[in-house]
Order: sequence, then structure tokens, then C-alpha cells
Amino acid sequence: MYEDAVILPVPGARIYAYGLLLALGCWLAIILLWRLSSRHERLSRAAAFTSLLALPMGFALARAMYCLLDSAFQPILTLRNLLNVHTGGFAMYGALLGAALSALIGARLAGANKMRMLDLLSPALAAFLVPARLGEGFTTLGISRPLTTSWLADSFLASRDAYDSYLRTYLLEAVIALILAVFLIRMLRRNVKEGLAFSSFCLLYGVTQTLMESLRYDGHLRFGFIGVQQVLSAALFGVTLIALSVRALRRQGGKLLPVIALASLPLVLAALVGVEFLIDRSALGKLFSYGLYLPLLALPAALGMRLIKGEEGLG
Amino acid sequence: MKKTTTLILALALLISLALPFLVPSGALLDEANYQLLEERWQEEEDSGALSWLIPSAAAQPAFEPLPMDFSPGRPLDPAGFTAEGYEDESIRVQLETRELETGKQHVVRLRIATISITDPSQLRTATAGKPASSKVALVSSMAEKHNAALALSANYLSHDPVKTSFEYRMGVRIRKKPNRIKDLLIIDENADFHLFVKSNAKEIEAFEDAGHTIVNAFTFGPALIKDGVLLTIDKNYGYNPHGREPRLAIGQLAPLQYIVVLVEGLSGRDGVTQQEMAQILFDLGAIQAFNLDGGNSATLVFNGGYYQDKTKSNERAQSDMIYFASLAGE
Repeated sequence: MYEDAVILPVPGARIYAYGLLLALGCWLAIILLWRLSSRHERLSRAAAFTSLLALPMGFALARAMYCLLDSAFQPILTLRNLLNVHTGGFAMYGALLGAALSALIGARLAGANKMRMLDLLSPALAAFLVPARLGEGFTTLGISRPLTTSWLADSFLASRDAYDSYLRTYLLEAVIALILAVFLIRMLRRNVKEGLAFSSFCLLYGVTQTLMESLRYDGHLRFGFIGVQQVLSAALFGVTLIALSVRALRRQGGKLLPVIALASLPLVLAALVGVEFLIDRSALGKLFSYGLYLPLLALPAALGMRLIKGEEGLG
Repeated sequence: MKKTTTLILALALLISLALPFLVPSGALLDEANYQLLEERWQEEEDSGALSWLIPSAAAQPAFEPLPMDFSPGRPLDPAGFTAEGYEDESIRVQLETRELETGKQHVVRLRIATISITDPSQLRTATAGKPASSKVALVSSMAEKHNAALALSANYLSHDPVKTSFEYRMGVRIRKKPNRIKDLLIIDENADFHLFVKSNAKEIEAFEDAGHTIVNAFTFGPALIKDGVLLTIDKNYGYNPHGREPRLAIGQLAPLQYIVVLVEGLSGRDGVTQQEMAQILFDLGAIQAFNLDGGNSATLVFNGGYYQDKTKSNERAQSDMIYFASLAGE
């Protein structure tokens, strides 16, 4: 009844629709990285190395992270099964981490600025995520809890199976990735200080993905009761906010904003945990609970972007 | 140098073309997962033969039994529903709500369902996706699709962080590692309950060697009553055994007669301890009883609604359910 993975009807070949969209994402990312770096020879070389390394490294880390951290894989975790990638099972954060490490190695090999290379990589990663998320529509991933709100259940955002309607969260994630890519490209055009585009990516992707991972209820990458990718998302924006705040405290100027950012972070995280319980257990509608989620996440995003803006003004 | 850069980029683009042939899904494919688990078990087994038998009915049924697979029950007779339950020629479900004082000013509500069926195939399980999948659905939606006269949540199989468990659904083996610290309920070919306290592989082997077929098995517990004996609950068993939590348990009263008890607080997150739950089922006459997943997972669905204080908006989607089906419908 449930198709795990869609295979394209090509005679003599087994072509996975999800893999095809991942490849499309890679092409988009590589072309964008190449375009953004083309004016500087060292960065251009670094981009080439990054592109070449990011594929195997992202692939390997995505697989390794999934196999090591997903409790469904634990009973069958052997080296042979880890290498048998046709079983499916990859972690997006592993792929992103692989790409970021590749950018650092690529910059080193080409003698380019590492932070600038990470800046250029940021919109490329966001661009990669657009088709990669759309590809989840051909798998069992990227769906929410069953919908109980009829107007949403009947909308184009929902998919239906034998039992219930589910929100197609992968569509939302693709749209967010597209907006993020455009925002970062525009940011780079302003020739911002090194590292700020990458910080923006980490902050905004972390914040939005925390919400998306809460919406997702596809059982993917769970370590016990914990959704690994949601924890990583919260950690990503949390660490970025701490780094931005510490940098701001070390600079001359107003200390109020970084202090507020640092003080609010544990409160925001605690409140997010509370809302997660509310979503799971409360009789309150899910829309109401997610209504609480949005301002909670908007706070670190706004504070972080304000800190980035402050740093940008100094650049 | 520009030529080299272009060449490297072209190579990267070319390498990415391997992805459509390599990556089927970000998720572990259900089929692959099941196949690999099977291989793993096969390697671990001393003797390879395990039964996948289709159970036969204990008595000659008046109606054609349901197939022992994941197909739904027969349609229910709308005239069979009353405020107190459901009845047709093959099944009787009686519902009752009681209030129980379990301490000083501590009152909980008991939702009691007693069920009589005529054939073992009427005690069934259903899963939201393939048996080993992590797919979830609302128990109320699954109940509707499967024509359940009464449906209840089970042990939220896919959400169990402890993968060391022994699980069967409708004769399909999903996991086969008995958990030494958790109890096990096995429902056999006659729909009889067998409880294994802190289960181990030898006991289960002996059970199968005695000629039983495992139709459904649930690792969760604790076992509350075994062979008519009220059990003392281990103080370290599972999550908060001595806390007053909403709870759900299933028991057997006699051959083809069962009892389901859901305990909910009159306000908020309240309920009974597992020992109190055991006592409640014992007092209601259960000879075997087993605790299922409680808290907000505890769901009891009857006639398109809930036989508890729950709404669709706070029903927790789960991977599987237990239900009782009719044989009488066309």
C-alpha cells in the first residue's frame, strides 16, 4: 500500500526519483557556487575543489550519521549494511556537514579565505535543499502528523493515504530553502563581512528547521524518543547565536543586545520543549500550539539577525 | 588554471549523476529493513525453522472466520450500536463507565469494555504502514478503515526506543529479540493470552514447541495478572510504575472473552499506579492482564468516536492498534 521509493520507468536501469532530484540539487549548488566565486581566482579554485569533495563527503557523512543515530537501524548495524546504500537511510545534516568540511578543505587547498568560502557555500546549500526536499515527495519522508483541520486536510499542502491526510512538510521546506537561497545571494551581493552569510545560513536554517522538524512526523532519524534532526537544528541556531553574541560582547559598543540574546536562549529552548509537550499532549488545537511556536522561534532569529546587522555595519 | 577548475567542476557534475542510481530515499526502506532484520535473525538462529502458520479456529464457527492477515473486519451493523455497546451475532461489546476512589479525594474514571467474540480471528491488530514501518496514523482512522467494533492503542510499536523486543502482528514477525527486563504478551491461534514475565528466548521457544502459533505479540507491560494470580509490580518497571498516570490495559476473562480498561483522571494528567491497575482488572475478573502504552497514547475508539475524554485534535497518531471485528457483515 505504501511506496517506499519511486523508481522511474526507464528500461534497463533503476533510477530513483529521489536520487534524481538530489542530483539536480547538486547541479544547482555547483553551478551557483561556481557563479558566485567566478570573479576571484582562488575562490574559484576553492569552489571547484569543494564541489568535487562535497559529493563523496556529504554522501558518506549523510549515510554514517543516519546509520549511527537512527534507532531503527541499530538492530541491523553492520559495516556491510552501512555500505549497502540501496536500503535507503541518509541524514540531511550529514550531507550539509560534509559540504561544509569540503569547503574548508577546498579553501585550504586553493589558499583561499575559509570564511568567505563558507559564505559562498551557504546559498549553494540552500539551493541544493530546494530539489532535495521536493524529492522527499517520492519517499515516505516529509509528512506531518495526521491532519484534523479539514480546510488544511483538503488543501494542496496535504497528501492523503488509506487512513488520514498529512501535511506535505517537504513542500514548506523547499519553499523556505528557496527564500533562504535568494536572501543569501542578495546578502553576498552587498559584499558583507566574511562569515556573516554563513552565520545567517546557520541561524535561519536552524530556526526554520526546528519548526519543520516539529511538523514532520515521519519517524525518520529518531534516537529513542528524540528527533535527532530537531535537536541538531536547535543546536545549530543556538550555537550561532552564542557565537554572534560573544563576538558582539568582545567588540566595543552596546552590550545590551548580546546579553539579551544570551539570556533569552535557554528560556526560548525551554519554552520550545514546553510547546512540544503541548503539541503532543494538549487538547488545544495544533494550530494554536504552532501559533506559540512561531514567536518563540522569531525571537532568536530576530536577535541573531540584529547582531549580524550590527557586525555588518562594522565591516 | 581556469581550464583545470572547469575540468574539476565538470567532474563534480558528472559524479553527481551517480545519485539517481544510488539513493532510493532518505528513509530506510521498509522492505530493506525487514529483509535485513530477517537475515540477521537467521544468522542468530540455531535452527532455522520458524512457524508462519495460519491459525485454525478452536471451534467450528457459525460464520466464516476472517483471514489472519491485515485485511479489515466485516462491516458492522448500524442497528447493532447502542449507548451501552455493540452487538451482532458474532460479537458483543459492552461499555461501562465507573468512578473509583483510589485515595483521599482522589477519584478516577474507569472506562470498561467487555468483549465476547465467537472466533479467534476477530481479535486482530492493524498497522498504519507496513508492519515494520515507522508510519503512523490516528487509531480512530485505522479503526474506521478496519471496521472495528472496538479499537484500542497497543504499545506504539514504532516509537519504542528499545528495539530489543518481540513483536508479531497478525502472524507477521516484526522483531524477535525478547527483552529481559520487559514483559511480553503473546496472543495465540485461539486468541488466548499468554504472559511472559521478563521474557526470554527459551520460554518462547518452549511455547512454540508446545504447538502454539504466535499471532500477535507485544513487548511492553508490565504483566498485571498471570493465570489468575495478581502480580506485584516491580518498582523499577518501565516509566513511572508507581505514579498515577492515565493507563490502558487489556485482559482475558475466559476463552474468547476479553476486558479492556482505560483509566483517566477527572482533570489533567491523572490516573492510577500500575499496581492499582492490576487490582482493578483482578477485581473485574481478568485471569490474564497486560498493561499497554498509557498517557496520551491510551486511546479507546468506539462507533466513530472515543470512549474516553479525548478529541481528534489531541489524539496521538500511532503505528498500530488492537481491535475487535465482526464476522456477521456482508
